Formats: sequence, structure tokens, C-alpha cells
Amino acid sequence: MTEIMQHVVNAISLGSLFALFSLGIALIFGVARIINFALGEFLTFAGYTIFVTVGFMWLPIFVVIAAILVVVILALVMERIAFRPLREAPATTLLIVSFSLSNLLTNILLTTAGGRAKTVDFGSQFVTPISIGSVRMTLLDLVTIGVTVTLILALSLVLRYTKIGIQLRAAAEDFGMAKLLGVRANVVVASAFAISGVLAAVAGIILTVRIATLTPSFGNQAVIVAFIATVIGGLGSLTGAALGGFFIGVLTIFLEVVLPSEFQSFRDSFVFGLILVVLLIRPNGFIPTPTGERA
Amino acid sequence: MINLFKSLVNRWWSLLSLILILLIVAVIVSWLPRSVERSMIVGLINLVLVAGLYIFVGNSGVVSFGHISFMAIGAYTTGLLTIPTMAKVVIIPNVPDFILTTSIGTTEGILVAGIVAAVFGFIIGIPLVRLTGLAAGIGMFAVLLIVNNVFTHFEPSPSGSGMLTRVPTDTKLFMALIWAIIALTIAFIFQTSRIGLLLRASREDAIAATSIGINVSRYRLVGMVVSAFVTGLGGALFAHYVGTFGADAFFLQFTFLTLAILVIGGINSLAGVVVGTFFITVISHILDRWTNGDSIVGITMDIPPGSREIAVALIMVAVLVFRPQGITGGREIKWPFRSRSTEDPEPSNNVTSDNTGAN
Amino acid sequence: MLEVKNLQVSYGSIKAVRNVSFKCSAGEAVAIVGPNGAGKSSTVNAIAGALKSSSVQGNIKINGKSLDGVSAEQRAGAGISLVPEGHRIFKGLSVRENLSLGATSRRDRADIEIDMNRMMERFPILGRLADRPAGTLSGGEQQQLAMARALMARPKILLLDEPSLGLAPLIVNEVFAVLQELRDENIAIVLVEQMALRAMDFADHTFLLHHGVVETTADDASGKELIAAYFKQEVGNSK
Repeated sequence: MTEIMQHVVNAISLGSLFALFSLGIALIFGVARIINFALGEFLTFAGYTIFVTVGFMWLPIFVVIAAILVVVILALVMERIAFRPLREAPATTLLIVSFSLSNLLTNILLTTAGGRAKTVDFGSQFVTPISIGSVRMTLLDLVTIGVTVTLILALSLVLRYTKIGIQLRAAAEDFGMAKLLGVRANVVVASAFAISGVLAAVAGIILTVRIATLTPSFGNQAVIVAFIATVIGGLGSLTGAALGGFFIGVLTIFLEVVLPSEFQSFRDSFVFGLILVVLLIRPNGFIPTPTGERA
Repeated sequence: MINLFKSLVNRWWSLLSLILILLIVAVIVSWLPRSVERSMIVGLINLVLVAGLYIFVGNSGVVSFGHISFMAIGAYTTGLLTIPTMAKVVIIPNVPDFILTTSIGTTEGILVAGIVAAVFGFIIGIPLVRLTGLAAGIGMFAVLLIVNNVFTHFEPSPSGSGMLTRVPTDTKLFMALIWAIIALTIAFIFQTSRIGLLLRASREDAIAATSIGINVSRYRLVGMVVSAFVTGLGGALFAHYVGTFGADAFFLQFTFLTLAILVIGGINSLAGVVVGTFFITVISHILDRWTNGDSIVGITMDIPPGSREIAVALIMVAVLVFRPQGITGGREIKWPFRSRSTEDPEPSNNVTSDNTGAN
Repeated sequence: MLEVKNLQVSYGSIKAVRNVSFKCSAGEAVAIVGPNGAGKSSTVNAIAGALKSSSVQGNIKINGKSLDGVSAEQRAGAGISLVPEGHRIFKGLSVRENLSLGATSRRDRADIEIDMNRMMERFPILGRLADRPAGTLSGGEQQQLAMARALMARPKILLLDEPSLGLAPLIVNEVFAVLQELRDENIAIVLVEQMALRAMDFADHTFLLHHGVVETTADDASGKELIAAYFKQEVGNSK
């Protein structure tokens, strides 16, 4: 029984992490129809910022703030330079652009920071195992779940009760009409990018603590997951994306536990295969958007 | 008789002109230093890959993010079959016996690679061609992820990460040239065939096309199979060039590179395939030389490694922002002496077709 | 107030509006009628800024200031409100949220609250359903919401694209009653309507658009009869 509980905790923890960056993708897609493949770079840059600052910043909180700041700036610059001129382009063009940006940024990191993995010692105290009852987990697991829940709650509050939140929801539903009412398109899209940056940065920080090694393609794995999660959750639906990410996290742990060992290395294939099946049955994802937008 | 000849040239000029360009470039390159020849071989391999991608994307308008899976299959197929039998026992001891004891020639290997890739394309195509737009692109991407995962944990190769070595490195300029010409010819035949034309018609509006009886899914499947075949050929050529490779060679880098070339050259035309490849190959060559501290026509620049990838990515973004239809704008090379009555209508300026009817 | 001169709207190579000119002052109502595809929607969409600037040529001025290069967002701030065809309310947002979006360009917080309450009085159904998702409202209710939302901006110029479409006759009466009140409040109204006769009756000037060009205008009794005759003839021809 305790073993199952441990797996459950593990699953929820991983699921929460995946949910965070899936939200990042869904937010930008909902408003601007861009699947931001470069989100992976947000995670990676968060990691590298930690690597760079952890040596000389006094308090860990400053490291965290620095990481978030760097990523948000990156997101805003990205939006301003690459995506704003392409506001009217079709969705697949935007996807190719985001793919190129991701490639560009990865290579810039490769060039400046080198390809060898770097170890990062940050927050390692969180990774030590603890026991709650007879269930063993790490403090990081709890923090991950806690932070994710908090962020998602905060996001919901922002979307529900702030002026920009209402504008974001309106723009996601009918951008043209929102503009006609005076909603400033640039502000809305930039906000979506900024918020997405915060979510991704936090996820990146957690991931860095968890894995403790950094390579330029650090974020690429995550983005693949987020990508897929958003699609199966239903493009344009924030809840769908979060649930999709969560589902993939849980599925990954589930397969890890359930698959016989010969198949372990093919665990990812099973996940992707399942995704394919979902895509074929429900190409619009599980939770269609209010306007029934097709992918 | 002369009229027959004229009309043949008219029809085939778009292809013949491209082949001519390749031949001329090859001749020039053979007088230039070795490094240029190497770049050209790489360029020709890329050409085959991009031609393969183009056969599907250019005609159906569906952007596939997973075509490199065909490349991988082609490479591994020919690799497994062409490694000398004596080496096989050491390198891949765990394969089924019939592979262990067979060793075929390079050309046969390449052909079989293409065929196996085509079969694979058929199998995954059956469910996937029903998807459109983003879903299709992502579906193909999932396929790539699976293929990558499978080959990375490829059992027969004990050295890990799906590594294969001692593949005969036979790809030289002449051979690459021949295969590139074959690839272009196949692409041309497909796009001017009835299926190809109908597929292009469906590109703008799949629903309208279906309503007039065009079986879009079936034609897309044909496109997928042909495209997989050619991409598989490219993978095999690659295998026979590098001789040693691992599963991670067939992932994001090539996906990005082939897509970039297609977009930069012009996603809707065969000429774009050649133009784009040529452009990127030249830039890659120059940047590679500068990265290594060598000179191009006497000029040297000190640039850090990885600049080439950065440059390609930058160009890609710039093209998408400023000229999304690519260098060729979707146009083929026309015979300059045509009569007015055979003018083609304006090409579409859409880089891709989402087939959603709404943008 | 609103001055439109030599307006042209093209979608690619298709010219939806070839040459339209008219004026509309505060407290005036202009009706644009005509058969489907005549270019009516394109006209008001062009004025509201809903179309790509490359599609629109000609002169649109508000109080002498040209709207060239002015984006849709800025036009909303300049006092132009559009109630588009199909009303396009945000189905996922509540009635109240829809209304608040109407006031996006306004800065006067306190007055916005007052206006919200006024809207809910003027359109009582909105008050009752204030916190429900707008998608759950009926067609007529959604139309009222769309109008109320447009009015939240305290527009100087109100453009309406087929406001009576799909509405029951009683509701249509209410719509026109509101329009009358607005005219009395000195708002300039440009009304695109299928119900040509009704619109003509209400408006001070009526334009009949056909193939993107103003064919007939009517601002007096004889003109109205002309247009009415035109429509009767169309109906007669199609029988």
C-alpha cells in the first residue's frame, strides 16, 4: 500500500510539473494561435540563469527572482521581435517560426555555454528524502505540488478578476471582436507571453533542482510533453492543457511501474503511441474550446 | 516531330532545368578543392531528404514534423544489410540470423531502404492522413518521437544509443548526384501526375475537394508513401556517407534543417527544393570554413562553432517574416520560350495550408 | 460628424465596395440597405476598423480627423462602436464581463459602474442574468447584450450590422425603440439592415447599395417610395 502511495505522490508531482508548462503553451496558443515550441528555451534559460547566479547571489530567493526575470524578458523580446510581425500568419507558419526560435536559442546556448552538461547545486536540500507516515518522498515533491497548485490558483484568479484576465479570455475566444471593443492586442499577447514565461520559469527552476544537470537541450524534452499535452487536452483550453500535462505525468509513472522491465526503455514510445491513438480518436482533444475551434 | 519535341521539353523543362543546374554545379565543383566537394555531397543528401519531404508537404499542404523517421528507417535498413558479415558479428550480434549472414551491395541497400521506409510510410499513413493541419503535424511528430525512442534503445547494438558502424562509406559525388536526380524526377512525376494535381487542388480547401469527389485521404496516402520512399533513400545515402551513426542523428536537427530548406526555398515548388538546398549548402560551407579558421576566396572570419546553425535559424525566421513564400515563391522554372496560351495561373502565397478554412 | 468619401473595400481581387460616400451627424440615423453581397457589412466593418488596412481605400473622417492608419482599438477609443453581424458576444464570459469589456477604452471607473447599472435597467434581462455565461442567453438576449456592450463605450457613433437578424418581431420593436432613444441622446447611428422598410422608416437618410455602389438615396417621401418600389420589384421578379 505504501508503495502505491509513493508512486501516487511521484505521479502527482511529475504531473504537476508537466501541467505547469503545458499551461504555458496553452496560454499563448489560446490568445495568439502560436504553439510556442521555444517554451523549452524558457526552461533552459531558467536553469542557466540559476547556474550563473547561484555563485554570487546572497539569498536563494534572489536566484529564483533572477531566473524568472530573465525568462520573462526573453519571452517579451521573443514576442516583440519574432511573433508580433507575424500576427496574421497561419498557425503552422507560427509553429515553424517557434521551432526555429527554439533551434536558434539552443544553438546560441551551445555556442556560448558549451555543450557539456553542467552540474547545478541549488536547492539540493529539497531533494533529500523525507517520510510522511510510512510514505517516502522528497520535500521537492511537496513543493512542486504546492507551488503548482498555488500558481494555477493564482492564474485562475487573475483570469477571473483582473481587467487583463478578462481581456485575455475574451481575446482567446474572439480576438477580432476584442480589438473592436478597444482591447489592445499587443498588450494582451505580451501579457500572455509574460505569464507563460513565469510558469515556465518556475517549472524550469523546479526541474533544475530535481535533475541538477544542465544541457542546452534541457527544455526540449519538456516542451515535447507540453506540446502533446496541449493537443490531447484540447488546444485553446487551459484546463484541458493542465489536465493533459498532468495525465502524461501520471501515465509516465504508471507505465514505469507497470511495464515489465524489458520494455522499460520503450516507455516513452508507449506514451507517444497512446498520444497518437488519442489524436486519431479525438483530433480536437478531449476538451474542445468554447468556439469549437479545430486544431 | 519537332512539335512533339517542343511539347515534351515544355512539359519537362521544370525538371530538366533543375537537373541541368545540378550537373553544371557538379562539374564546377569537381575543379574546386576537396572540401567543396564534401559540402556538395552533403548538400545532395540534403536535397534528397528535402525532396522527400516536399513530395508530401508541397503537394498536400500538410506540414509533417516527423519525416525524419523515414530517414532513420532508411539509414538503419541499409546499415543492417550492408555491413560486411564479418563485422556484423561484432557490431550487431543480436540481430536475426538472416540479417547476420546477408550482406548486400550499397545500391541494393539503398533501394531496399527506400522500400522499407515506404512500407512504414504506408502503415502509419493509413490512420494519419485523415488528420489535417496542426493535428497531422503533431501526429507525425509523435511518430518521430516513437521511432527515435525505439532506435535509441535498439537492442541489436550493444554499444548503446542505437549506434551502427562500419557501414560502407560509398557515397561519393557521382553516386549522390545520380540519386539526387532520381529523387527530383520522382518528385516531378508525382506532382505532375493526376494524383499530385488533385492533391494540390485539395491543398487550399480539403472540404471543397472532397465534395467534388476527390478522395483526399487516399491521395495523401500515396503522397506519403512516395515521400517516405524518397526520404528513406536520403537516409540510406546519409548512412553510406557517415558510416557511423546513432539514433540521435535522426531527430530535431535534421527535422529543422529539412523544414528550413523547404521554407527558405519555397514550400510549394520543386525548384524551391533545389534553390533552398543550394543556398543553405553554400552558406553552411562558408560558415564551416570560417569556423575552422579556413578561408573562402581569401577571406577569413573568426566565428564561434555553432554559428552555422544560428545563421540558418535566423535566415529561416527572416524568410518567414519577410517573404513567407520563400525564394522561389512557389514557382517552377519555366521554359522561357513558351507561347502565351500556356501560362499558368498565379501561385498561392500561403506557406502552408491549415485546411481549417479559418485563419 | 462621420464622413465617408469614396470608400473602396477589396478582398484580394474582389471588390466588395466600389464607391460609397455619405455623411452622418450627431443625432442622425443613416440606414444602408440592399441585397446580399451588396457591400453593406464591408462598409461598416471598414469604418470600425475591422478590416485589414490594405483592403480599404478612401477617406473616413470623424469630426474632420482622418481615420487613416488608426487601428480598431484606437477607433473604439475615438468613440466608434460596432455591433457586428451575429453580435459576437463572448460566450465563455459572463454577461457582466461582456459589458465591462465594452468599456475597455474608458478610464472613468466610477462612471463605468453607473453605466453598467443603467444598462441593466435599460435591458432588464441582462440584469437578471448578469452572472450567467453569455452563451446561455437566447438569441434576442444576446443581441441586447451586444448592443448594451457597444453602448458601454459611450460611443459617439454607433454602427449596427443587421441587428434585427434572427429576432422575433417584438424584440425588433424593442431594438428600434432603443435606437430612437439613442438618436435622441445625440448619438450618430449607421444602421445596416435587411428589414429595409423598417430601417427606412426610422432613418433620416437611407442608401441602397448594390454591387458596392450607392444606387439610390432617399431622405424624403418620394425617395422612400422609390426604394420601396425597387424592393417590390425585386420580389416580383424573383417570383
